[in-house]
Amino acid sequence: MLRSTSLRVAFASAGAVLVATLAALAVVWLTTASFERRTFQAAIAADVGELRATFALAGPMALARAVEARAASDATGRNFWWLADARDRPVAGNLRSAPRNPGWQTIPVPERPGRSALRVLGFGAEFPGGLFLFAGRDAIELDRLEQGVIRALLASGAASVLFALGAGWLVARSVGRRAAAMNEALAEVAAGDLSRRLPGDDVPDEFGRLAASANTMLARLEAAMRGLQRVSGDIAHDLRTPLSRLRNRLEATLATARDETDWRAATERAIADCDEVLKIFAAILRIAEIESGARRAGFASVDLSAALADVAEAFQPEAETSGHHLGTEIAQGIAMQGDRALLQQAVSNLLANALNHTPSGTRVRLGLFRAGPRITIEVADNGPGVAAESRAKLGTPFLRLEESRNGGGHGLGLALARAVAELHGGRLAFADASPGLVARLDLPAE
Amino acid sequence: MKLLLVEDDAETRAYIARGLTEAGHLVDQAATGKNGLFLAASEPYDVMILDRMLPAPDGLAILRTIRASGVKTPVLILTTRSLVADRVEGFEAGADDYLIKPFAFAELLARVHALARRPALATEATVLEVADLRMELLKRTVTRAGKPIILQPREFRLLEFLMRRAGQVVTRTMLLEGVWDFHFDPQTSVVETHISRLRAKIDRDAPALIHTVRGAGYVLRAPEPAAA
Repeated sequence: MLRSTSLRVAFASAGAVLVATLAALAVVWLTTASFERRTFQAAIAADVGELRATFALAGPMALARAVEARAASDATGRNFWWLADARDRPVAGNLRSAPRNPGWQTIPVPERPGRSALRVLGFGAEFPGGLFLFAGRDAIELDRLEQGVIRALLASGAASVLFALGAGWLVARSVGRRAAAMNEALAEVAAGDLSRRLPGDDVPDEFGRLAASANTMLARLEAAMRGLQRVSGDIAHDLRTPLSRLRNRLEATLATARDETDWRAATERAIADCDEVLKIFAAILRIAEIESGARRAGFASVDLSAALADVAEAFQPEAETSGHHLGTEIAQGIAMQGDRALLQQAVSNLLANALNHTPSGTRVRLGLFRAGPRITIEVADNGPGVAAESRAKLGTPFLRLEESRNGGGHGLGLALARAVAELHGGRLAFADASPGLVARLDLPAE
Repeated sequence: MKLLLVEDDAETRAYIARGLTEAGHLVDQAATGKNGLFLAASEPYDVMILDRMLPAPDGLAILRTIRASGVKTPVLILTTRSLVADRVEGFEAGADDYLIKPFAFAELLARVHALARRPALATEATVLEVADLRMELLKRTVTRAGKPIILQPREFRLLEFLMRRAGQVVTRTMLLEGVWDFHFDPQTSVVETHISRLRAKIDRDAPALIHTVRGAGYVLRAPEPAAA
């Protein structure tokens, strides 16, 4: 049972309450019953002291008279004295007898008509010449007080402990229920239902925050799993096409090849086909690596202005060959924390996309600027553009729009650019440049 | 050259070893990190090729161990992981080059040759000469048979890269990394375009120095004595 944290907490709190209660009770005891007893004994001791003084000043006869006077004048009937001589014969007082023991003692006094039995607490004192004095008082009330205080203390102590145990049990039960509910939800998640969420994530306490964190994690996990399922479906589909083509070609070669030249040509073609498939794999793996986010560890300061100028320069000859006008508007001195190779690759892909999917004569512009905490990289063209409904799908892996079938590629370039943007805490968006298309990489400067 | 190849996948190992042997090299093979480490630590090699993912110790662990014991042999790491952080980790462990799987065999061979020649690169030459092509690094000038040739900065870097490796095949990837500092495939013909521009300037009126090696890359070398 102690394997439950909540129960342990309940017992620990009950234990703490018990210790605190015992301390409080000790104080109560010292200030009430124990104090009464000390006052009681101090009064008797003072009385005995007075009588000793009388004896010392005026002798045994004066002592006997003083005792007699006290016994006679006691209106309460609850104060008792006993003075005996050396042979224990009564000299004065209102007690029948008392044992000759010096010091504090309690003497039972039997019941008498008109008076119940008593317990007399008193002090016995020897006097020179064999006299023995016992002075005491009925202690029934003191005993009752003490018993009453003890009962009260026991009752309140027991109540506190019971209360602590009860409160602890209630807390334990509530905590246990919430933990059990979370456990149940997590068990369902473990069983495969990634859409399940932990209950109580809106409660503003530790459990609520824990549930909220776990739910955020589950949401990410679910998104990642969905992405994985979609991508693996796409991979299966997009790799089957080139692989079956390769297979068919090899089969045809087997049937038709006549000489060394035929075999050689077929083999070279097969290698090229394989390279194509491997390229797709490499792109998929790279996107997966980027999406895993683990690469942030390799981030360093990147001079974006220089990195982008290099990319633009690398595309210049190609743009000239295809009859495009590639221009740049790169603000100087813009830097950020990131992965230089990935950022360059993302921009390369955007540029390649613009060059491959627009006709000759189109203007393509690579822009870089910073506005406050945001850095924007833009690749804009004044080509035919992309219809709004297709624009929303850009950046989806393996997407090939009907209007750009001729452009080739695997539909992975923009997906990679998007993954790179997200790795750097930014996003990739496409908009109408009227005319043309503008791809915007929006990145945080820090 | 005497080479060490540590690769756990039997088929890949056989494929690489056969290619390297055919290229005239002596290849010691190890299938496990343990054997690889033993060979790397006990035999002298010209270049070591280590697969990064091996049953313990892995390629980087072997590399760290032999580097710690003072072995300076050039090391090429083979890996399936492509991102910057992995590459940095590899270089920090003491790797001299890094090749991502899958790769064309020509790429591997070119890089192994480049690594074996590496010490020559470190010399502080201020003038590079191949046949009658002369590059003055301090003055940033290039002449062919005494006639000055005007090069764009990137063309100059490309030619310098080729001249420093004269006689060796350099691949497109090596050029992208070495001349452009691009550690990814930019999906453009930037290398081809620059090579053809360079050819137009260097080889226009004289025997060709820049040659295309089919399926591998480019090589800059003096014309054969017979042709000269």
